[in-house]
Amino acid sequence: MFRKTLLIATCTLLFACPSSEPSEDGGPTRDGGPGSIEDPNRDGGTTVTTPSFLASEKGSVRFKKAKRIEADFATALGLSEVCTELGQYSCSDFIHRITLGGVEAYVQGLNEPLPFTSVTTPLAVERMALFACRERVSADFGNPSSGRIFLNLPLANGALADVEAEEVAASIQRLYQRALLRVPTPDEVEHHRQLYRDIEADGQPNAARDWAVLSCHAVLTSMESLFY
Amino acid sequence: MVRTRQARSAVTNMKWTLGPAALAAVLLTSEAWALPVAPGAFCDAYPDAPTCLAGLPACTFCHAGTPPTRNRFGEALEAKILPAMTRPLDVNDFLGALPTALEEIEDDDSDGDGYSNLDEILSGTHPGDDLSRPDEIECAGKTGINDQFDVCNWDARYAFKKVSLDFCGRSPTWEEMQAFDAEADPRAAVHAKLTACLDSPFWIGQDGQLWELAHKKIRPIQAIKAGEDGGIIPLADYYDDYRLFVYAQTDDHDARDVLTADFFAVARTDSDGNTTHYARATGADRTGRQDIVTERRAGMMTTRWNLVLNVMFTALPRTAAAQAYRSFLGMDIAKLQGLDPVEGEPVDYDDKGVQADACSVCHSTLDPASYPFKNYQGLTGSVGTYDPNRIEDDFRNEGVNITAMPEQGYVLGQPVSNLTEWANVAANSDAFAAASVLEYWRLLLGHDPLASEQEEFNALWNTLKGRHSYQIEKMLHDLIDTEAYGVP
Repeated sequence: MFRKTLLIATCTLLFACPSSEPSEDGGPTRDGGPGSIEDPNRDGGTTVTTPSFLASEKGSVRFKKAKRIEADFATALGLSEVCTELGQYSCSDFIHRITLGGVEAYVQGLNEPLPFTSVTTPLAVERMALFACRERVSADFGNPSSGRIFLNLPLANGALADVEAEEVAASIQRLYQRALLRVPTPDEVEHHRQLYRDIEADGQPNAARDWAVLSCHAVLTSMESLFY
Repeated sequence: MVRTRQARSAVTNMKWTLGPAALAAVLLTSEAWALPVAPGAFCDAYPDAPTCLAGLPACTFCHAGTPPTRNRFGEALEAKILPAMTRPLDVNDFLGALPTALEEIEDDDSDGDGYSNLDEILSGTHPGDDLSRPDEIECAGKTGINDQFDVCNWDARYAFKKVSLDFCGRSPTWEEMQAFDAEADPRAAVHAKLTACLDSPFWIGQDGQLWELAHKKIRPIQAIKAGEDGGIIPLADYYDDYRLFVYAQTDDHDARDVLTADFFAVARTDSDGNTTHYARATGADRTGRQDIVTERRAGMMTTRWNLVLNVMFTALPRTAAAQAYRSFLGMDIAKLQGLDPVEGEPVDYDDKGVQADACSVCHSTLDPASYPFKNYQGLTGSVGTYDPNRIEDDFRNEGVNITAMPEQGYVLGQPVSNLTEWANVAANSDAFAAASVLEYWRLLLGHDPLASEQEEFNALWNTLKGRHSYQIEKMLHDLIDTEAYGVP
């Protein structure tokens, strides 16, 4: 069931991203060009035109790799330990080091990082993000008045009493500020609220906690979070 | 701002990527392997071409894959050079015909990418590679909104975040970004951030970025490491190599010390055990066992580890010379880079058959570059020492002429009398400065300099050699000011 809600979260947040064409290397997208574009959102059947997005011509971004990802997750979520496998092996320093772009020169003879991310890189990143988010949410929900991100949420029997509450928006804002160094757009806040409604509709017993974990996971595994 | 973009990166303008024999082979026959005249003649014809500003064109300029296979530009050029004459051509005939042949195909588009050969030559892209092309990007006049990045100019906010990630290993915090946004001089704040990060554990610490930059030069093997974290067969301690490398890259130290140092370095730490800086080792400091006498030391080339690993049991330590070329000059001789044949070479003192045509192409450069290593003990004799009788004592059976092998040799085409002189010539070369900058360029930008970035790249290594007196940290302050780094 958790996997199902994870899928919902991913789809929801992907839908929140601006429409764009994928670049050749699967990196960030390029839109735009002179003039304006048609906004796919229509208001009463009338096409709304908005200024085009001025994209970088270089389109040069880089994967953060193991050490930076761990440091950024730790800072964003206020954790001293981001992720361990089997409760004892560091995800970034040991288990997933090579997958996440690290090296192991002394024993394995891997003196330089792999030139490309591997097929398991997204899995490793998602495991790190999920582990870290669960830690953060457990701490915040255990002490709602002094949490780092999910603060004073209106909880009632494991659910959010009011998804429109200001505390919900404030939590989302803290998440964006700490993880992406910016405030969320109104659309992004609404997408997170919609994520909660979808989870709640799925009949989950701990909808609020699941929502917090998955909101955190979605932001930490966004391209904006993982590339620079 | 007008920028030129390449579809695929290509470092084509460096002397160390020169494949003179290869380029000559395009124009002659597969049997005529070594005729290192074509790149120079090309640059005589196009002295302002970016490929000629810092050296000579690479073999890929005319070749596809392994020479003598030609790319489409090479094929077109070959067809225009004295087509009626029997191959192989005389060198002088070839040199006489080359300028005209180049001119005849200037207006052609050999690779069919929509740009003439001349346009590509003058913009620094490959006229034989349709993925390498000078696309003009006109930023001025474009409209649209991007409220996160100034995508047409050096963006201080973008650079600040990038510097924090590249050198400190983490993004700034929200609070740090708020403070940055309030800065009166954002560019100065970016440089202040760099200065702070250059002392961070992520940058200078053990297994930090600089340490990792040294991996491929040192090629550590834990099983034979001596000292701290030693292995089951302790032969030498490569931590000394790492510390000397990082020392040379930090503070106001001279990057040439990686080749010329006659000392070793140690890491100084704070009360928490974090490395704060590197310093020359004194008698009170503990280093690994290093037995080379001071006057025979040549930086990382003569550490016990390097000699154990790369000299090993060989009379003529070709691997040591080849690894030094790769590590410090950016030239891989095995890939036909940096070939500068010495007349009369290879002599083949150790009777390995290197005078065969297919071997002499590289060995006419490699062997004379290796002679100055001949008295440095690897795993023979007294390990990791300088022994003037090494060949006579330990390698008499390696060939009838082995004892005649000189210590004098050549590096980068210049004669040298011994390894310390070899190190000095190499350390003061353009190749060393450019290779040093290239490593950081790749680390920080993730690609080789594009055609549009060549001017900034060339300025960096020229300034490193000149005004910055080989201080890497000053070069890095220049690097983050480039458009290549700071324009999103």
